[in-house]
Amino acid sequence: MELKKKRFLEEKTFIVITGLAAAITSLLLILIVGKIALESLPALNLYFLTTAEVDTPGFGQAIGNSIVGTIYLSLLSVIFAMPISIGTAIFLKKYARESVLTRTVRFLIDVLAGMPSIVLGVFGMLFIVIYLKPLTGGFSLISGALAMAILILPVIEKAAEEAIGTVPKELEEGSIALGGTKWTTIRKITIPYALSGIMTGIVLGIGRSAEESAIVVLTAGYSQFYPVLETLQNPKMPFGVQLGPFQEPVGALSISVYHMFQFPNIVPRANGFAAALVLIVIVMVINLLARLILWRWKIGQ
Amino acid sequence: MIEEIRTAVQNEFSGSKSSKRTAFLKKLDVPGIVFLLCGIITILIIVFLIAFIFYTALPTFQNEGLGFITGINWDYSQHEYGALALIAGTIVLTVTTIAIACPLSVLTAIFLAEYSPPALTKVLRPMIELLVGIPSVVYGIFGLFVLEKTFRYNINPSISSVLGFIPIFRNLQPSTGTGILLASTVLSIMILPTITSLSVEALNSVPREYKEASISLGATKWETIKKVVVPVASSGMITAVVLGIMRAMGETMAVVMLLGGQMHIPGSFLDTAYAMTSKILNDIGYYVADDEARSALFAIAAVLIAFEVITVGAARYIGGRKKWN
Amino acid sequence: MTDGGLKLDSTAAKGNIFKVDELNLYYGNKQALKNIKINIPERTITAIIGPSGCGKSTFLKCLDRMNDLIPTVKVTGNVSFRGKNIYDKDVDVVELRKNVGMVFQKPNPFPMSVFDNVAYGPRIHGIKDKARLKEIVEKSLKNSALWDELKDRQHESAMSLSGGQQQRLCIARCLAVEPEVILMDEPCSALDPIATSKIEDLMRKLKEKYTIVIVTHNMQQAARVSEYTAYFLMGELIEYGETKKIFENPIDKKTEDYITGRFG
Repeated sequence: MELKKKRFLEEKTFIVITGLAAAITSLLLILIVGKIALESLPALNLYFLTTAEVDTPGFGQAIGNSIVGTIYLSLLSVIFAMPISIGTAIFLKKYARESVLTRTVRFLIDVLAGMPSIVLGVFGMLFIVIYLKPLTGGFSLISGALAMAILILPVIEKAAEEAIGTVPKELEEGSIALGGTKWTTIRKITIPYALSGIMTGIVLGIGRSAEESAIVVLTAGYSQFYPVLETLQNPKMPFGVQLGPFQEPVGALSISVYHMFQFPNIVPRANGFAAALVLIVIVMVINLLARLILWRWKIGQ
Repeated sequence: MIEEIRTAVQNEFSGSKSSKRTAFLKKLDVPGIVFLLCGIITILIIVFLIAFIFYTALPTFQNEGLGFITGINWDYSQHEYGALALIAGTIVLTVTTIAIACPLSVLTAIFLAEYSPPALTKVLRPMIELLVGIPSVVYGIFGLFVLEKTFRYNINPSISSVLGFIPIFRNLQPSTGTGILLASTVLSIMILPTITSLSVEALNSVPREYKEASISLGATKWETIKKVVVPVASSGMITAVVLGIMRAMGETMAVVMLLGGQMHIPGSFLDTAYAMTSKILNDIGYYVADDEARSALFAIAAVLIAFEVITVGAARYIGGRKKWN
Repeated sequence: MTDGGLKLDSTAAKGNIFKVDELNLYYGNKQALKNIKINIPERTITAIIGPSGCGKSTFLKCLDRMNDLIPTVKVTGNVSFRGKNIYDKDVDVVELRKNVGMVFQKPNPFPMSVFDNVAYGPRIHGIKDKARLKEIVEKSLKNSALWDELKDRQHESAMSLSGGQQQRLCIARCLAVEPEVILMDEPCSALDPIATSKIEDLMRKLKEKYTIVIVTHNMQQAARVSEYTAYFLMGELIEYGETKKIFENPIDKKTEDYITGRFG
């Protein structure tokens, strides 16, 4: 074939091939979520969403407890992770000189970021649930939140570091020139400027915890009850008291979905898909929220 | 006066005198100590985590030695712990996943970065990104309850009948759709957004001047992409693929549902297998109290950590941490 | 606005390689070029001068259709290259750009070796034979006054060269595809005076074989180097003619104002 024709043909072919690839990739989302939504329609009603499983006959008939449990778990894990991760970000960016030390810390954080969640899960199970039982109550909300806090530490830390890195030096120098101390500058200039970026990280952390299942299975146990504030008598715990909901097992949406796999003959198909849909919606809303915050912040810059 | 301010500013940010300045630290005031502690705690958590796993796994490594990695037999009652089938399962799964995901995401990224009109890109990119918002356990359910039958009755038999003369394409498990192919397919959907997104960024950061120069010499757009843009963006794209590999290796929930869970070295792409992550998840519940068994399972976790650290190192070497972010 | 002023008697011996008529260009709604009519004689150096934003680079990029790369651009009118309007539907743009090469303001060699940079064009256009490629690279490097400096460094990365060398490399790269025209968009503005004068020497040598159209914001350079000069202002061609005439005895007052520095 004449060279010119060949080049022309090659060009056109690859436009089609790449376009096709992009089409497939983009459509996947609609196909998957659509299919799940369709399958879950029969089960989606207010009763299903707001009743605790314990109040229903059988198993997997309602996910109210799981929804609340997921919310508690993600919020608590973020609360645990926030101080350390943001503090580390401030340390690396503001107080440490670029050196072997900072490179090592960042390498370790990267390692943690890529750690398979099952590894964190078994660590949580053995160390947090079993060894630290007097503190955590064994399989419990606190155990799950602690384990997941380790999981999301890198998520928040990286977002915070990046946000802090975008604060213009001139702003900070201005504060110092006016007589401010380093900490005052950080408190009044750096952090407010970087706040949206940090918040994006926090929101992403919430999303990450909400969708996690391997860790939850191995550390939080499962409960068909709504998590409630209560104190139980338990001679095995220090002071003989178990503080709910923190030291009690808690349900989570990811586990409810997992039940569909574990007990396919007991959990109705539509219910399993419905739980999956609710989880997708929650995580996607959280992720969209994070992007919205980031987008508004970038516009504001 | 100006001089004093200037010196103060310089000292704050470059740190040449005053107390508590070292090669590692800038000036530390009281809050600074708090933040230093945060950093130390972070280091301690991560190091402790890894050390704990390896410490628990140590007895198994001492007893089995290299046989842990090369042995096929995993039997609690016989006190034999050979993880070869698991390692093979994870590796074959990962390789197949990358083989499916790479072409699709690289081609998609090229389309988005080079051919797609901006308005279309604005619509397509979020749609691909949102795939990240689907939890892995949901992918598992989707794969198992929606796709599995199709694989069992349609896809696997078709592939086997067309390519079955090559041993690695034989349908060794006709009674089920689960296996390497199903799990890899779902896993590749899971990592598509990651690889695509990072690749688009890498492609977009190729300086416009290179493309202009190529076009002005009479090259077509595709030739420019093939010969200039992709090579320049390659380190970023390879980093993206490595990140995808890490995700695939560490994935648990979807894999445990879709791989079939049979303890053997997979004999074909259509065969079932058992991944390291799945084994840990399935067995830890039963054996956590049994010192020896527990140690063996933690040994698998230790191998996973080792794989992961190597991959992180490789990614950093190729891309540098900036692109990593 | 005059239609170019001078009659081009002195170029009767050389043909016009470009004939531009009623060329208008719009960026979206904004009109950047207004009714340009100009002829470019072959194997000469034509300089295009004017203040920033007057449209000279935009005009240059019309000659090899590099403006096509900008999505909001709309072009009307006739740009004839050797008698054929390059904006016709059936024109092979790839072939056009082989015949009309471009050197950019900031040197932009590929992050490859010197050899691969120069060989890029020929390879694209089908030349695979290693011996031929070596020949072409050598010839091009010689024609851009780089051979002596780089003949033993052909496999070094182009990024390790100085600014002036990189720009001459870009010229070599351009020459390797054997164009008829070389368009230069402020090629020396990123270079020091010594590198600049090397390139100006090169241009004088090249004009024996190639047509050169150079956009420059440096009037002295235009005066030094070109035989014909075109003065653009706010998207219009104000005056065009022999360089000597334009600089010593311009017809249009606006041209005179610019030349004498009263404006621009």
